[in-house]
Amino acid sequence: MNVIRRCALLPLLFALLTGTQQVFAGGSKGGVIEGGSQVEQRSIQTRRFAGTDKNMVMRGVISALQDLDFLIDAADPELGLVTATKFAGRFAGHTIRITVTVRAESDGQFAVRANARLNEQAIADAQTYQNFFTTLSKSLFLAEQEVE
Amino acid sequence: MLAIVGCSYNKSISGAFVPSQSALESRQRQSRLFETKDETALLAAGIAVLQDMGFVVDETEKAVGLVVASKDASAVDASDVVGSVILSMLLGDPVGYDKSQNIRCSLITSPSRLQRGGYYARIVFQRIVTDSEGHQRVETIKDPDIYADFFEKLAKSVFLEAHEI
Repeated sequence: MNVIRRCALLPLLFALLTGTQQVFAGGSKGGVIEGGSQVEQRSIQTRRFAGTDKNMVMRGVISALQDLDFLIDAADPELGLVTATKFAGRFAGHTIRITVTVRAESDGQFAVRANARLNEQAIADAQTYQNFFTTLSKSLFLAEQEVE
Repeated sequence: MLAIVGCSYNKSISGAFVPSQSALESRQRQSRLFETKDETALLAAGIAVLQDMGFVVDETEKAVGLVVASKDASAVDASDVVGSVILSMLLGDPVGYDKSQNIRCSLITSPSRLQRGGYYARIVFQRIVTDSEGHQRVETIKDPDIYADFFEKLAKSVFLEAHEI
């Protein structure tokens, strides 16, 4: 009877081990090289926007991040880079960090790519990035329409 | 079980990328329009106010109108300490009171499209508070008086800088 019970627990233990391995994929290699398919990741994290110039799109990114309660840490207009931090919860230790890059495309549009982390974990959820880009498109529209 | 944890994790994280209902109100509280044609002068005036307030500037990027500054300060409030002592006596366990805080802010300037020769200044203050028991909490400062006070000082600073006082 005991053997049957133990055997019944095996799939659960296996699932837990696999799960924890995925969540805690640390170590030197796991910590430096992480993430799934490069193409899939880029498509989730990137959107194209129309804009008059790169500087205005960057300012729109900064404004969107401020609307989301992020504190801007650094910006580099030459590289089209903005880095920001947000406290995810009331208690310290739950921190979201985000890097947003703005790149001019040959068709006159701007490719905006965002990648974010919650503490030690990369955020891979597509809906999270979709929410960010929705906020960004509103911010660019607000800037265009001057709604402050 | 892991799937359930994963679902709730994704939901709460994606929610962090949606503006709160009070986002427009926050934007209004954190922003002012200044009649100036010189964005650099507005940023310099902002830095001068932050210096007046005891902040140390960590990062600047003039081309996108950004200043990041921070300071460590005491968070002790006499009434909190008294309340903590009384609660500790009543509960028999130590109850912490706010002891120190690290305050960070980012000041952003952006050109107004409607008003030629006008620039918006927007500032956000955040703080990490450590209590006497070593626990930490984080918050975006929402007190409208703090923002009103900053912008009052900034308006004066813009005038002082313009007149090189």
